[in-house]
Amino acid sequence: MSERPITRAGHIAYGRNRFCGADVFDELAAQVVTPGDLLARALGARALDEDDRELLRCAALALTSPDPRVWPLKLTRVLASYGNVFAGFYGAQLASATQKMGPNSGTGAAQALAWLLDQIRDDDDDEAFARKLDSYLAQVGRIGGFGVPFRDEDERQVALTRLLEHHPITRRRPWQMHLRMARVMRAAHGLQVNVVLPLVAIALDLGIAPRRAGLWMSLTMAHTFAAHAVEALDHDAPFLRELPVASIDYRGRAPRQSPAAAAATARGSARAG
Amino acid sequence: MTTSPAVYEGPFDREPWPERLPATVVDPRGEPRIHGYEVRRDLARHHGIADLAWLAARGELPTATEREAFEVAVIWLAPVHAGEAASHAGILAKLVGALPSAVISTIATGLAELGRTERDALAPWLSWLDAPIGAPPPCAVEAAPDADAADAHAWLVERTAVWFGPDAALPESPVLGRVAGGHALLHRLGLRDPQLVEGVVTWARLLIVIAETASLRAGAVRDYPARLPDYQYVDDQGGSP
Repeated sequence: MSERPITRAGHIAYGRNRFCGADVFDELAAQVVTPGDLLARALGARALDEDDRELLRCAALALTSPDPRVWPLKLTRVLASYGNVFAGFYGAQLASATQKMGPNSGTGAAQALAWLLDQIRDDDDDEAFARKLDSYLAQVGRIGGFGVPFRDEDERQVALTRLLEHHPITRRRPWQMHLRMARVMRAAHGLQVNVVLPLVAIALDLGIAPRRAGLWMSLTMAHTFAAHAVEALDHDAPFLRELPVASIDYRGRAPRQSPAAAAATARGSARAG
Repeated sequence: MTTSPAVYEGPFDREPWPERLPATVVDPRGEPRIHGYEVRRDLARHHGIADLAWLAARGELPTATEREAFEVAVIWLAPVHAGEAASHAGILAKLVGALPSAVISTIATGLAELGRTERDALAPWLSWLDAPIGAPPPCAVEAAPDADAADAHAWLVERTAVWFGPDAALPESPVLGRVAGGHALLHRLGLRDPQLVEGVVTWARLLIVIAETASLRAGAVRDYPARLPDYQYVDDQGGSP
């Protein structure tokens, strides 16, 4: 293999580090306002302005769902209970590699929204919109961003919509497309939009590629996982390292003896007899 | 006047939830049992590690034929060399001075990813095994088989005829790749659940790769070939140091 792999991510030079195309202590020091600016750059988003930073702020608030009984967060706590905060925080992230639940459901939702942005014409009415959406659904099976279990509406989606009510994003195409998609899905399939769809509208608006939307969501909600990892590290060991036997519902095979053990027992009985 | 504390209530408080964690393999009550067999006075005395793995995966002890074919599959799949990403990752974890548990977690993650990508790549081969029409797909074929590979393949073909019958024997030609051969055995043995197959494959390799990293000195980053491969940084303007 003679060809050298290319990296645009970064380079350490003597006195001059570069990150994603910019000098860290010169250009970036002048441009970067919050750590979110660097995260956006890492994921290929556009350079952020103040309106964009407000989007990130609201997205982080919407992704703050801190109950320890939320399954991925419980996973963080269970892993951290052994006393290694990194195992808890990062180990739990591996379970995010699914589009069924959690931040990576944003990847499928972003791909669907991006497809609609490409396919829907301004003069398409809701009927034409629904036909195109159904053709996409037929290809992929289901789209993340819909479904609200246990309650009538997703309070995070409601809050995010309210927080961004007067934001310029509401006049731009990704946001308007997600609103239309939510309306058509509810009318055609009875599915209620959840927080994931407006979040991926934000991701696409910022210029984040659909395939990276799940990772963006995961990183944007890192604080939620961190709160549980550090707390579990401090005091969950007695609760989680080993549950009481009485809390296990064993549904497996009843006690039995292997043929080899039975034969040995029989030989022993014969000898004893 | 005293203020009563705020009452927080949500779905996790109001919805009905099961009260116990389901389990089907290890019975935690009394003397530990795996799928019903007592661990210390039965399995440990009368069975080997391959039986234990088969029992875990299938829920029953293996027949003599299943044990033999399973052991061959596990051994064929076991080698993962230092240059493969799962092992390379373990080496890096060791060299940065990670805890042994973190080195092992890193390796397990890499091996599980390797198992997943292998199954994806071999999907046409596994389908061919169920409906063998035409020649085996290229993903199963050894690219440039030498005499040793041909000999190993011929042995496997002969053994699969014995284990599974002549109709289910692996094809005499072309010469199969080692990994394709190992996965074919697991498939013929009826292991189809992706999690169990990837679990068996990961288990087969885990200690091999852990051993690969064991002799390295934790924290010895200067021993690592940092320019392998030799990345070239390119900035937005196409410039490169």
